[in-house]
Amino acid sequence: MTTPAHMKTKALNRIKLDTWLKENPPGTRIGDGHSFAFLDETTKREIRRKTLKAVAIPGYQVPFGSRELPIARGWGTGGIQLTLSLIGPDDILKVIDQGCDDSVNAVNIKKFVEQVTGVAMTNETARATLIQTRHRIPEQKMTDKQILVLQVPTPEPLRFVEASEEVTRRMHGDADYSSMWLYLYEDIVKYNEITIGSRYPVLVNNRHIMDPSPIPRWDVPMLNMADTLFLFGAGREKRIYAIPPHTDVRPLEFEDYGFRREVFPEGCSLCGSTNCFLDEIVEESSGKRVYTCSDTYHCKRQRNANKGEE
Amino acid sequence: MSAPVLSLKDLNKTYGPGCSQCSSLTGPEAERNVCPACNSVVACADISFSLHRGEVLGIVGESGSGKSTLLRAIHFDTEPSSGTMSLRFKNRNNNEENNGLLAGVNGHKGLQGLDVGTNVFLLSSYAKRQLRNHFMGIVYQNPMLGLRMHFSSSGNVAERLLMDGWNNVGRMRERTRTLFKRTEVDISRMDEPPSSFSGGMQQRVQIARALSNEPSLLLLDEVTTGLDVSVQARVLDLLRSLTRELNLATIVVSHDLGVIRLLTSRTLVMKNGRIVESGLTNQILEDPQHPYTQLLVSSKL
Repeated sequence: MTTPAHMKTKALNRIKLDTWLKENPPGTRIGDGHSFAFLDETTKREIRRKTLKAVAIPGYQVPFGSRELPIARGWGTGGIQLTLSLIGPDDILKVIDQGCDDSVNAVNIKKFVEQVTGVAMTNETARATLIQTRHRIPEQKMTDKQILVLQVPTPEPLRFVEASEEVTRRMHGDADYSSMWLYLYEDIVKYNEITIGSRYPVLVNNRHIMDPSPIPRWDVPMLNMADTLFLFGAGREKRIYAIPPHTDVRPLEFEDYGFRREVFPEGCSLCGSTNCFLDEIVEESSGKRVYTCSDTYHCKRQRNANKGEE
Repeated sequence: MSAPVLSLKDLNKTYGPGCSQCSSLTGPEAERNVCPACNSVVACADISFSLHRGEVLGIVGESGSGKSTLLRAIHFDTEPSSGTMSLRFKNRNNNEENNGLLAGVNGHKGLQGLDVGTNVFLLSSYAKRQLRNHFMGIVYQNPMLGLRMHFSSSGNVAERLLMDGWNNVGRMRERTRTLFKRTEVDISRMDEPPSSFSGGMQQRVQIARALSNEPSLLLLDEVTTGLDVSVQARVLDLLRSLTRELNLATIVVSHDLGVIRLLTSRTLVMKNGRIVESGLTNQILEDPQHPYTQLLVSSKL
């Protein structure tokens, strides 16, 4: 019996793909046929224009034409597009994922940007001119010379209470936020506290309620009156928004049920820090809970400082 | 006599393109409200009246006479085709409950003072929303329209307070308790959703919600339709004592002449989008002038 024709082709293709993968290891697959920072100039110009609009109306979600990238939507493409349209040859980029410099996501984004721009990468918060982050703000205070780009899965804070985009846009237009407040009230009635963990809604510039992306509550106060420009990019939802430096950003709260940061029972098990956001880890062998800094660079810096003291 | 709480002048609401013949080809004389020339529906035409503090005005008319459209236009639920409405409200101290986290639009926050005679139909939607929240309370025939059925009942009342910038949960709950006590809603059930309540209870929650911000104007849209007679009587009793006690300007829309007789002092009779007769309620019910009113009164069971 002979192999049917279509199976032959399949086998042939598999060999071809294998060979191709061997010949083209990751990191060499994007050729030279793209402009600096991968996106074409018109796209970058559009994103910059939308970013300017976002800066001009703090907290307002500006729609933009989210482009296809060699990364699937929902994996930080909003942040990447902002980064790519802002980055220049002299920039120094830091990418973190939940505070970690070395997670797969952060490393891949760094590799990609490095390949398409050739700019320098760093883990040092203070050295970076541009920081792209997923769900954390670096612990070290950022300056007015730096920009923080945050990746956003769901840019609409009112999605908690209203499913229709048409309605939420009208609600933003009218500053009709009573249903958001009602959501918090209901939380208190049911659980005697506000149970929102991350994505804590904030009021920006006394005008728009904004989703600060899924940063922990710990990071929310860092947005208020900061020296740094914060840009938020949602690639899948096609929205850009911003908090310009020195903008009033306040978490929603009641007089008798205030906003609270997370509280940790002990400090970081590696560096001893108590004044930073910690990850809880359960040790498998003992079942013991230990805490470590979520910001890995901050932890390293603390440890080095501790060594210096000794 | 002080200026009226509400005065409405030449209100028109037409659904459709409208034409120059609309007003002459429709109305009670023509016995229709669809213009034969352009097929527009003339829901309300040339409605003018004013309402003073403490006054309870009834609006009666058959289905399709435009009474609900009129109420909706007053409540800013629908935009009128033309007309002016001016309101007079007591200026409240905004800072008393002003939550610093209340969002404003174009640098304005909360209710702005109005000049006498300002046509409120021309205000921005933000200003209208604020005005509605400060100034009006509405009770709909169908509680589904006026309440969030799956939020707690206390939350339904608190929502209007939240809109007004209240930011203390304890004080809001205290205010809700007071209102529920007054409207006879079981306080031990204040955190249950209205969907678990009976129809009469839901109306009471709606009334509490409508009164939460101490409005100057109360709008009642067929509030007792669909309730059984004994419950109707108790809700009406409550409304009658509330409007007297709070000295509210009230508009009662109903097709039930019994409700009109019980609650109102003055009545407008509407047919095909026009006011065909107006005057003291007793007078209209005892000695109707317009043929339609005569029919309405004589056909009452």
